[in-house]
Amino acid sequence: MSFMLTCPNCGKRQVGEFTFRGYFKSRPQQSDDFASWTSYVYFNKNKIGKQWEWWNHASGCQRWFIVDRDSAKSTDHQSVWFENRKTLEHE
Amino acid sequence: MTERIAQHPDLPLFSSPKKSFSFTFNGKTIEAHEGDTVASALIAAGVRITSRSFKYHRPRGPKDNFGQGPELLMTVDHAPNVRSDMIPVRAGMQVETQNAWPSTQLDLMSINNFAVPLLPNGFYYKMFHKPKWLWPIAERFIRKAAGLGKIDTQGRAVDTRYEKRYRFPDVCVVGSGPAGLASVKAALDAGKQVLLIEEQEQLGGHSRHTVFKVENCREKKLNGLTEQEAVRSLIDEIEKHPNLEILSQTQAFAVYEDNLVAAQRGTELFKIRAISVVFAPGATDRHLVFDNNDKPGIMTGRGVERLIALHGIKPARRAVVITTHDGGYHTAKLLHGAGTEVLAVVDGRQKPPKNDWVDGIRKLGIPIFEGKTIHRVKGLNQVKKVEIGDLHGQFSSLSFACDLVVLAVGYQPQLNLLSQGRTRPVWDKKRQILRVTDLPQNIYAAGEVQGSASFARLYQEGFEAGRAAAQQSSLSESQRDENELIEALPADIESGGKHHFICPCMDVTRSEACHSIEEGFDQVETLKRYSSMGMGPCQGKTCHEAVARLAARDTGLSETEAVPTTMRPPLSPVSFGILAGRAPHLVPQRRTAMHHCHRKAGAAFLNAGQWKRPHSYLPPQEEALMVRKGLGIIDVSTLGKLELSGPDVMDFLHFMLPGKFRQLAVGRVRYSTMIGEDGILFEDGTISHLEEGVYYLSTTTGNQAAIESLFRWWVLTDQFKVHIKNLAPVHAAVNVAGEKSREFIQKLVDIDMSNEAFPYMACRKSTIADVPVLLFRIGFTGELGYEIHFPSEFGAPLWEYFLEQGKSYPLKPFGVETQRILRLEKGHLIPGVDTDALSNPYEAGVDFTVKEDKENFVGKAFLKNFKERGIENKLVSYKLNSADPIPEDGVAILKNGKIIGRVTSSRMSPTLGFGIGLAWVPRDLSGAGSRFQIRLANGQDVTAETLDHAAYDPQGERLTS
Amino acid sequence: MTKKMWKQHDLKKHYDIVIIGGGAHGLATAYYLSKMGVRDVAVLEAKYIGYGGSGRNTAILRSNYRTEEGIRFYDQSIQLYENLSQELDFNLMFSQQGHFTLGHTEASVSGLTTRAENNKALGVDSYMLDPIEIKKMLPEIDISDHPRYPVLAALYHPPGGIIRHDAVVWGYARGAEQGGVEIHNLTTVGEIRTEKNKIKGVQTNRGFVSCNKLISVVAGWSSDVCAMAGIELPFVTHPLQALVTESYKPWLHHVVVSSNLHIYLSQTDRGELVCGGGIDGYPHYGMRSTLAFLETYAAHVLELFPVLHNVKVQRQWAGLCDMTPDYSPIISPIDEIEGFYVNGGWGTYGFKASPASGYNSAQMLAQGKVPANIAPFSYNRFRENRLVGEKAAASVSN
Repeated sequence: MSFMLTCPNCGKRQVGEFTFRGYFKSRPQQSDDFASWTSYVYFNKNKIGKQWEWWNHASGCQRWFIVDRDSAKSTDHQSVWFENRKTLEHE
Repeated sequence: MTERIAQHPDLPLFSSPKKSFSFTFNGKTIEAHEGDTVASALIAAGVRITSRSFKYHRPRGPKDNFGQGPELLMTVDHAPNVRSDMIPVRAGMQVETQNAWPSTQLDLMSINNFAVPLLPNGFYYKMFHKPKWLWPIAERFIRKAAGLGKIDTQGRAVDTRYEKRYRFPDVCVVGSGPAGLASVKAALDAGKQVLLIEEQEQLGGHSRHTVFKVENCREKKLNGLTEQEAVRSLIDEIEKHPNLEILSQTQAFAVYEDNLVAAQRGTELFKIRAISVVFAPGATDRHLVFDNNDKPGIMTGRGVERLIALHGIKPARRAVVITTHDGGYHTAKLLHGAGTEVLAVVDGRQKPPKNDWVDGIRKLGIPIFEGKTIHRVKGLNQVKKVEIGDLHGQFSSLSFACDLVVLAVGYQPQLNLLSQGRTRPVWDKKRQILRVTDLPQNIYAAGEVQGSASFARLYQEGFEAGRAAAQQSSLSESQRDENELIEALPADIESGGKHHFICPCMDVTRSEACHSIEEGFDQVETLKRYSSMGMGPCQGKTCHEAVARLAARDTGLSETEAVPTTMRPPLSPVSFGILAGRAPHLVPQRRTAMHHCHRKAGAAFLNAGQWKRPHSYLPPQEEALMVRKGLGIIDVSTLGKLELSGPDVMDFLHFMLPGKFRQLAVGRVRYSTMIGEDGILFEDGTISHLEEGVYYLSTTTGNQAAIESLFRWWVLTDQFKVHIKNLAPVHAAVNVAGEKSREFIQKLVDIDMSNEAFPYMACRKSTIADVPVLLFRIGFTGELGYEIHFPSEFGAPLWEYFLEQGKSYPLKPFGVETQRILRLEKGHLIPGVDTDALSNPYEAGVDFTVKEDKENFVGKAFLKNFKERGIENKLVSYKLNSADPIPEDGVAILKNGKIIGRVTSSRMSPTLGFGIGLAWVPRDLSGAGSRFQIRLANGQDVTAETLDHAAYDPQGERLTS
Repeated sequence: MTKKMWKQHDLKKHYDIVIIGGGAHGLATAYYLSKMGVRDVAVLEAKYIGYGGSGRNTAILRSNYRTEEGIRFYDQSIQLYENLSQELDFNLMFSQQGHFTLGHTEASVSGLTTRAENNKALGVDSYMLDPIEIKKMLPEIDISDHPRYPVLAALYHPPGGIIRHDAVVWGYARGAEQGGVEIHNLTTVGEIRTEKNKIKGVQTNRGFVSCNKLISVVAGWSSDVCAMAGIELPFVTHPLQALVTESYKPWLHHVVVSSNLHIYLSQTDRGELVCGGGIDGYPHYGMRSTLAFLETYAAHVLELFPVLHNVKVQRQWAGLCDMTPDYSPIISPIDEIEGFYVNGGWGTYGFKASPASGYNSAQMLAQGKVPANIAPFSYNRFRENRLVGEKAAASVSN
């Protein structure tokens, strides 16, 4: 890991300081069918290209944030706080 | 024959070294001069055969003296595969050749040279596999014959100290030839912090041995000087600049994402994050393929010039120079000045230009042959004769008896750092070279790496790149004049003969490559893997251009479609020692506040994640009995401890944990599990209501950071108003267990410790020795006991205080292994030990912690699914007969030879006198009294009986009284 | 006259079965289909055979898995491998050197013990060794207290070893072609066409190809390909890095894996040490190398083998690993689309599975029924929340 990920709080830091939790997915309602839940827990788009991801600055400020990162070219990414996720270019 | 020279008429800066000393080579003593590399000293001493090739064991000798190829790999001071042309020689060094027996002079393995060509192309894929028993035998011989140096299994230099260094310059410049130096100057002029990296000991690049006159340079004061003098002047000018750091003898071996440049120097690793990087790594002499192109006595133009100018060596008695540009004439002049008889300059150009260099050679009486090139060399162990002829290898017209052939037929850019796994070079028809033109942001390239050019051109490009790097602006494409082009000869001079080596490292000939293509390996990547071309010590640096051009040609593609195989880091090999640095332990060792107390008490320690914890102080069986019958204390400071409060804390607990807690009164404690969204049990602990609205969650050692992080994620995404305080490092903790624990602690606290006032599963606050403490009456060990949490700065003093106050009982410390035995006697599971990443709470027997009727909590949907499905297996307690041996943790449970479960924890119970444990069994064996077979590792079977209650004190009387 | 291993073919308009992906699994599938007499098959490979994981892996073979389904499957694979050189008449250079999995914590030793015992019960040769016994076979290993997590025990598996991974690709390719299958390189699938939930065919850069059955066997790129059919997978694609050292005289005669340090190494017949570690912590399709991998690997390997400090890394690269939630693959029909099958999710344990994967996939395609050995690896299991038990043994597996 040697690309530098941007933490909204701390700026650009070596990616080794961070942990990747998973893709951003919307949690189903309890009333939704079980298929929605298995989709949520197990399935992924796993795209070649940009997706929203959850990252944590584990060896730094320890805050959670969302990164819209190109999975083929990590240097191309945008990091925002959860509250500001609507400012990202696409869903 | 080689000799040292004391002076040179054409090299203004030539100086003879003052000091000399000696080292050994294959046991013989060799003299070296100050400034020598190991290789140059050997060459001066007349060593011609320096290694044997990989497959055929053909003799090999020095070629470019630049650390690229395999010819000069030797074992130095027991370290294998050292590039002897890249390291300075030191007094007393022990140098040995490799991969030849009994010696490189007479290598019996050279029989391969005759045997192997008789075998078909890719023979090892086609032979030795039938009959089946043949391959293991054949493999043993193949493995023995393979390999170059020997790993030093005695580890003689294992204590070598390796260091890691960090740099953060504004501009990093790689390469200190004219382009690199100009870049540095431009960046310094722009006020930037500059780091200059140069692989050689001295700065200056190829200009150090070049005496072309500088003209038309933008730095006017350099015009009229020789290149040698010009770079000297530049170096003198910038060397002492306060904003410049120079790392020489340092090789930048890779560049990674976000412009991380990695470099090695001796035993140091440099990690450099620069804002901008300028690569000016230059070029090496082009590789030419012709018959016997691997013989000792064939050197490149620059390789020869280095020997003459930098090491004061006359490299041969009689030489022939093969060239296609003025550079060859320059080399011929230097050879002549060193005393070598230059028999001819063979120029591939039909009409060489009329200029000072060409005329100068003529004036020396050296014949020039136009429109000709080399066809083959002859000689058994080294060059004895060279034959030349037309450019396409058809007619060999002349031959010369000589001991050195110099190849100066153009340059191939050192593209590795620009390309490295990121982008492929493309053939630039105009410049007749491979180039990398798409570079990432803030990375620039300048100089010969873009195609050969004059000093003035290199300087100009370097200066513009340095300026762009300083400003982080874009760089316009550099131009080339017609007369700056070096026309490329055919990649293979097809002059007949069987020894046209495309890849000298792996002994791959042109005909082998053609056969491979015919067999179907017609894409350069598959061709490489089948033939092994480019997979040797130089990793294709020598041959990548030839491979690309020949592969394109032989598969019917145009030369513009010539694409080399992927270049990858490192540029040159880097040792594990350098990469590891000084601290092999990448995992910190965490200790509790009472650690030295345990050490003093003679505890044996174990690793619990990152923590060092006492395993036991006495034999664990003895210690366990001591707790049951007496009074024990264990350091449990490593537990996770989270304090939760805030307006939404109850909603939060209800959401995060599977149980219900609204009725948990102040002062009460409840056991809880933690479940993931996937319904899997991953943690357990206790939740205590310390005071109104303040809860204390205690979890196992391993997970505490992860759980805090997880909680914060849920707080963020679901907007709970909760305060989370991680008290894990703030509080030390102990567990005092035993019949007399109430009596003991009552003496120390000022609260009522009676069973009525402080019942089982309750918590209280008090002070002990004026230290504020939290007391929890819980029961992991199954004895009356209290977990006491207090500020960790009082860790050691309070621990000693407890032991002191408890001397009369006596209160004795016990360790983690002992605690394991005790909890097993009570059938308590440990998540991650007795459960795994697939265990749900129903099968683990902790369904009482799950209240499914809550409207919304983490894991609800999956738990519903698990509950509906029912369980197939269950985690149960079991006991053995008293005489039975104890199974190892993890062994299988079998029924009629079929695996039906596994043992997760297994110990001898000192209290009960028989073996006990926890195991996963099928549901139909989970009822009390069921019997099942456990197979020990030695094959013996023991019969276990399922228990539906704790083996020890099943009613829990000792706990709750 | 040199004999061609395979030929260039024109792309026909229709095949009975189209296999997307020319790696070891896809080619093995093609080979076993041809052996069953099913020949109207095309393998469509976007670049060149072996471009993906098959050409990048560290070629370790073993069958010492934890669950019954895992052990059976990988044992079938090893048994196929053991005779594959003879069957394909191509030397795959399978070197059954013996395979160590070192355990450095009590928890991992317990897990290794389970693997040893489960293996024994199913007839696969595995047993535990203590540090003294380990050192007899690996004299330079440091079994002292000096390492951060000292070696406590090892799972030893005699049938495990290494193989020439490219040879497996080429051997299967040649065998498939000899059997009448067509292999098409430089053929990219851009679109999967279905009609009324039934496979129609694929649009490629060389034209449209219709087929009755279509199987995606593209490992790290599976989500991308299956998305063309509107199918989502439970995969996340992570890079797995590897490195090779310079070539040395024979030193290491076994495969060594450390489950806690997350590193492994072996020595090829050419003398290089082939080394790897765990996957990178985040998804990435770039197949690029990093410095952090080299540093971490070096630090850990020197803890185990201090004498390697002056052994040099010659080349590093990466491949893609399609990770599933239960560390087990999907080899299964997709009920939602008739005629569509997926073979993927091989994580870091795909290459050793190639023969059994191809063999069982061929059966599945030819007979329309899922063979018993791969029944547990269904696509539907994730919808039904019935994960396979190999997840329990989660750590670096190689």
